[in-house]
Amino acid sequence: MPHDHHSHAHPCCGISTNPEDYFLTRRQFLSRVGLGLGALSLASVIDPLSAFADATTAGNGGNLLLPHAPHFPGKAKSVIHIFAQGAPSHVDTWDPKPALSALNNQTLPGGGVAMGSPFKFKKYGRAGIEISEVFAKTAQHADDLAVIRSMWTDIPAHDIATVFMNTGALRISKPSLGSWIVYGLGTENQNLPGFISLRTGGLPVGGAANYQAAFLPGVFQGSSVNTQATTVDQMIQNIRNSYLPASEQRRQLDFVNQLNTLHAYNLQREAALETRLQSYETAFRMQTEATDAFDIRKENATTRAAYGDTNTGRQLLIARRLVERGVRVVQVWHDGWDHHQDLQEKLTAKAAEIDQPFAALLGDLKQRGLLDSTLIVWGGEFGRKPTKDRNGFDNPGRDHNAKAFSVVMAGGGVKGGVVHGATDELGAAAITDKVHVHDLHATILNCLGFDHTKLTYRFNGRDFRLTDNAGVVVRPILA
Amino acid sequence: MCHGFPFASATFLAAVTWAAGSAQVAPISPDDLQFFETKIRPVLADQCYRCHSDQAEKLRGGLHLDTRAATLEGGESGPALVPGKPEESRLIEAIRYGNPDLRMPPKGNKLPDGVIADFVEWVRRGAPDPRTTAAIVAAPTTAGSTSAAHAYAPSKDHWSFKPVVQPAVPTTQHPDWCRTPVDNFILADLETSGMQPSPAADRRTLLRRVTYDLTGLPPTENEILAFLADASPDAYAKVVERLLASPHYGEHWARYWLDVARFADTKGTVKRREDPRYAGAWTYRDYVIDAFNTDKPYNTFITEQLAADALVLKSLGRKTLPADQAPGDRRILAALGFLTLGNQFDGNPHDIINDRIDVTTKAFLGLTVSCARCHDHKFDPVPTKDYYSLYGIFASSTQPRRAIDLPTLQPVVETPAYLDYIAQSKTLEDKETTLRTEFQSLRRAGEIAPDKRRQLLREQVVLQSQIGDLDTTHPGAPPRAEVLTDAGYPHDYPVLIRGEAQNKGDVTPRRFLSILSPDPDHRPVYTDGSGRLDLARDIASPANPLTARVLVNRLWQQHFGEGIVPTPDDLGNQSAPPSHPQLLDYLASRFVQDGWSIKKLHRLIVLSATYQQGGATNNAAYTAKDPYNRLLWHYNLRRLDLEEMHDSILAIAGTLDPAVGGTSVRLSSEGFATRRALYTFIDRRNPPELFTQFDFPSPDVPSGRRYETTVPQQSLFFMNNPLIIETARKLTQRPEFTTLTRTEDRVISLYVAILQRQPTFREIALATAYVKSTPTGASANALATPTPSPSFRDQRQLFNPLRRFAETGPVGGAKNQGPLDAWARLAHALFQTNEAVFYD
Repeated sequence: MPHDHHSHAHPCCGISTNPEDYFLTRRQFLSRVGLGLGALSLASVIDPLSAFADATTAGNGGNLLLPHAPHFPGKAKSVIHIFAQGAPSHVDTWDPKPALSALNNQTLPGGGVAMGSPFKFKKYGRAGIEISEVFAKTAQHADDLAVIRSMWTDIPAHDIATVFMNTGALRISKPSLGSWIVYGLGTENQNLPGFISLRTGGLPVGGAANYQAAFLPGVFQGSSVNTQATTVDQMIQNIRNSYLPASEQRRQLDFVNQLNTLHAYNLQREAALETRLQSYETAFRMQTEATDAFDIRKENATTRAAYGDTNTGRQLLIARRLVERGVRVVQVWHDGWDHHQDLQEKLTAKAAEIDQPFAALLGDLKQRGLLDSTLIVWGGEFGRKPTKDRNGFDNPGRDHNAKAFSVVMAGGGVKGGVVHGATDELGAAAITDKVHVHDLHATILNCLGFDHTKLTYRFNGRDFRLTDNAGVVVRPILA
Repeated sequence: MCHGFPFASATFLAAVTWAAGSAQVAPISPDDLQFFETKIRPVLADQCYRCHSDQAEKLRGGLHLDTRAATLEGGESGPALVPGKPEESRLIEAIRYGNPDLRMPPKGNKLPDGVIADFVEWVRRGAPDPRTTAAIVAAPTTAGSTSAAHAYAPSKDHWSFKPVVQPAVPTTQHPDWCRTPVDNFILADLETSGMQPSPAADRRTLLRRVTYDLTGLPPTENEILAFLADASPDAYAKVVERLLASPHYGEHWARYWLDVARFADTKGTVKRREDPRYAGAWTYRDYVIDAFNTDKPYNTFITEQLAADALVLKSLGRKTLPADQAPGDRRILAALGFLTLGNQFDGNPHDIINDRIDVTTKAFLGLTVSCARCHDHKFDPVPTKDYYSLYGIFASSTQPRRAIDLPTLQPVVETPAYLDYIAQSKTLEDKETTLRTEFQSLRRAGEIAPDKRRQLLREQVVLQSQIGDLDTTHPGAPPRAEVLTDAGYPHDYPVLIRGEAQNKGDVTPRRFLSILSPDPDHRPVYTDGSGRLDLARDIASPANPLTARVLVNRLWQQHFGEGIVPTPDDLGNQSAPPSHPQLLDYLASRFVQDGWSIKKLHRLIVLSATYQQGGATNNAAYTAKDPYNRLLWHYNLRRLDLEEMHDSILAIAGTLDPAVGGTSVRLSSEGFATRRALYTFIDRRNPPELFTQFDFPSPDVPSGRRYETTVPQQSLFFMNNPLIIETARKLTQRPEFTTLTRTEDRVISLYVAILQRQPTFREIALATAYVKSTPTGASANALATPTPSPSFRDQRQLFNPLRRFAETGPVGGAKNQGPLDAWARLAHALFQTNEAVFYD
């Protein structure tokens, strides 16, 4: 398909669909500096440094991260995705099953021994949503929550399903949800990455695939930060230069940029070079901005106490500070939900880690007037079975189940106090108003103002989208 | 460019693929396909297949509902449905429960009204249905996916399952350009597309390229000068031989294999309070380095990694592995680290075996066999039974629990250090026994008081880590192999239905995968011990269609940045099509003919004119025709990976220790500032942050290809890290630099060292201006705010048993050594340039 260089904006939404717009190719470089391809032999008489300077001051310097409008005005401006990795048991958290409790310890016709939830459920809020005691604090915000009880996915294996929840792709390497969103919207704060992934310790299951840009331009990649540390210097290593004052570092970076420009000119290309140059500029600005954004000591004691001085508490408080500063997408990893045995103790402890911070986040965002513009998503990669996993014997847990799980949403774009869909009476499979992972992605994009079928990127001759060739927006939960 | 197009194009592709496989059926619209896949198929699979499909134990009513044709044909009572006419369709009548004699699903399990309405709508639409072959026997959870790929049984006709046949070398219009047969294949395809290759790269570019490519290091100044001065026609070939003979070649290429072997120094999640370190991980790493350096034939490399124990026992004529002092060379036992050095998954045997099946099949065969653990593979012809054939092999193998039980690589000489190690080991072992006995007797006596329990647990943790320290750091601890050996009674195991341990199916014989066996119906059963040696021989067989192709493709990818098949760990049905299938097969068959020699394969590739092309892309017509350079009309721009970047900077500053092999070094130790990066200790639970930021792959999954990301944290490392800055300073403190007095000479010296070339006049002028305008006095340096030391909490993390190997100290132990002069700043700036981390 021929591309017209001079009208690369998407006719509707201002997003370029031409991959070449994201690359400072030799061709673009020359067209920017007013040369055609035939003029290459003149290279020796043109000064690439001055030409480059002219070109960058003339436009936005090819900054793809500048904010742009979506397809239609979206309610949400930013997203906090809390990934409960390991596959939380839905029947013990958000999906009460009295029939399962009634059959406790009985052999079920389909095989396996029924395991009633050891937890009590109560109705919360005006809507009277039934929620497990393990989420008692979050439940105080029931009227702000949309609980989807009819989620399902394709493959009940952690690594595959985790990456699937983040990229919508099972086997092929595709861009993550966060990368698609920043590609579509840009970001509000040019001094921080547009997409930040907060983890505690090592890489999440599935690795960098969970926040990768894949074939999207590299600037849409999620930046992964280890929030297990408590100081900014440990979280974002090398955030400070102990040798040079900022003015000297700026002078050094300008010099490096000059050399890089000559290099790109001599090599006559290329996207990867330009991406690295941009990332230096972001890094330079981050030195000031990130030391502030990630420093939760700047919060008052009340706020810090509300979130709690724990890994998860600090993560969510940082998430709020990032969203407040215009970061578009924050992915928060809260792993350890794979409870094959000792479910009662382990799930109690795991939920306790997130319950208070989650409640605090909802309250804090609301009080600051940010809840309406921040979409919060909590959920794992699949659910668990209503039966006992035999690995656990006397102290049982539950095995994997791709046919049913719950996802909780709140804030920008979604209605509060609603329950959507249902599983069967034992919680074995979603049966009513089923919501597939692609449907959830379509819904999240809708909250941000995108028609998920139209947020596309052309790669290898095909227009790709997050939702593959599926996805139905879950309209009943939209505000 | 219309909005509807992307959607249409994606499903159109699916529809075309589908139609190609079944010409007799009319195409199905994307909308209908989606309706069927989301609303109808899951219900059929969940509710009907149990009695009405190929997988039914007993077919009811002679009715199949698992293909479109069978559904239309119907069973004993006639057609199940009439397309377009729900009211005349027996299937609709049955699910509506209106006729007391025809109610389905039976026993009152009536479908919800919404589902019934979907079926009515489906029949009304004409019952559009893509199913052409019998449904794959799959777990019901997988049956409802919306992907059109699920519409077919996995194809056995995929190109990579067919035998490799050596193709004829094509003729071209410019045979004079071709230097190795590789070029004929590349040029023939270019000519077919009306294209020509790029002119050859200049000599300096070529030397830098091939030196990085083969050794992971930049050329030295002397090497550059020697090559530029060598006018002989085989100057380049001599360079290639020099590089292939360098011990640094093996270090560089070993790292790629270690990615594939999901190598790490620790056990991930361990059982109880065991120490998480592998005592012998480094010996596997050194085995791999040595295998590349000595050009160990790849078939031997495979066999040793899967069954070195059997080879050693046969050669020594023994039944069990020898004691420390016993004579005999058993260094190849270290190869078994390939299987054993994975995650220990809390001691869960099923997960450990799954990991071994995964690494074996992905690394050697480019097949994702582990998908068949719970259900037949959805995309490739790997039935669950085949998975459990391999499962039996690994379940019939066992791994020693304690380091002291691992065999030594060489007969041990009883030095005082060794005797001290043995004595200390014995003491700790006794302590362990005492502690365990105390625990058991207390437990037998009833409830243990919480305080006592905590105390005992703490003692166990301390004791286990003392044992770990002893085995990994004591100077007298001999190098040991992390072996796998055959269990006492090797036997076949049953299928675990849906992967559930309690849900046992038929016993499956230990034998090779059906799709890769010459006669799938008559596969030899493995009876020699666990069967690992037989498995290794089937994998390393010249008749195996995948083994050589997979390796050739991996090697090609590392030379060009992109494989002939872009998915190196998966050459199955889901893989991207090869750019040059004939070339792949040519190289695969040559590789086997050349005695599985990896170095010969390197030569075929790097001596080709294709490899020696220039990298310029200033050809608009070609860029339009082949924007991703799949035809290789120019050399690809390559970015240094983490190890290349780290090692180059040290090599440039002259601080790199050339020693090959040895125990791993910690990131925060000075060892990281002198050893090559592949010697870094990797804790699989917490890989070093620096590694994570620079795309180091997860050590829990085999990884034939690294993601290449560009994130600000990488830039921050270059801009601010003392290891980089102090190394830059060292570069300017070498006598050969400090004795230079002219500014211009100093600039040239730094350019040659860091970028391996002379600067242009323009660059000399820019660098001189940068140096001259460096301020002096107080404004020149940052305020004396030393990097804050880790907070109390961060330090405490170090004492958390799960976080014992967290690296909170400075990288390479490097610390700010004081103000930088203008020259150190210039060297630091050059380290930060794109040119320093890319080669073309």
